[in-house]
Amino acid sequence: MTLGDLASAALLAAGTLALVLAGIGSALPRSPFVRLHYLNLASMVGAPLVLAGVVVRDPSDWFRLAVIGVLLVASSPAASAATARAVTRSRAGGQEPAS
Amino acid sequence: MTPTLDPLLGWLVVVLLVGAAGPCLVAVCRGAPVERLVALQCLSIVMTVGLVLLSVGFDRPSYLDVPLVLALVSLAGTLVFARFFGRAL
Repeated sequence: MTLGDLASAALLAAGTLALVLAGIGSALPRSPFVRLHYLNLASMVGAPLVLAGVVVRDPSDWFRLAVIGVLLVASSPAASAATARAVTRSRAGGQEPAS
Repeated sequence: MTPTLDPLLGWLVVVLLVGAAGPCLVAVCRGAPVERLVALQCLSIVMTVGLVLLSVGFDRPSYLDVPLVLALVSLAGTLVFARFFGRAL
C-alpha cells in the first residue's frame, strides 16, 4: 500500500464520516436553520473530501470531479440563503420580514 | 464482461446510503415543507457523492456525467422550491 492509497483512504473516510454526520443532523427534529448548518457540513466539508480522495486515488478524471466539487461548493451558499429566506418568509406569512 | 466494484468504494457507498441517505429520506417524509426542502438538499449532495463513488468504483468514467447533471439540477430545484415555499406558505 502506497502513501497515495493511505491518503486517499483517509480522505474518503473523513468525507464519508462528515456526510453521515450531516445526514443524521438533517434528520434530527430541530429548527430548519440548524439543519442548514448540517447541510453546509455536507456540501463544504464532506463532498470535497470525498472528491479529493477519489482524485488522489484515480487522477485521470480530475477535471469532471473538480467541476462537480466546484458546483457543490459554489452552489451551497446560494441554496442555503434562498432556503433560509424561504423559512423566514413562510413564518412571516409570505411577507418580506422587516430587517 | 461483468463490471466489478472496488471493495473500498462499494463499502463507502453502502455506508453513505444507510447512514446518510436513510436519515435524509426519513426527514424528507416528515415535518414542515421547508424542513423537507433542507433534507432534500442534503439528500441530493449525498446521492451526488454516491454516484461519483459508484462510477469510479465500477471504472466507468463516462458515468460521471450523471452526478455532474444532478449537481446542476439540484441547485435549480432548490431555488425553485425555495421561491415557491417562501411565497405561498
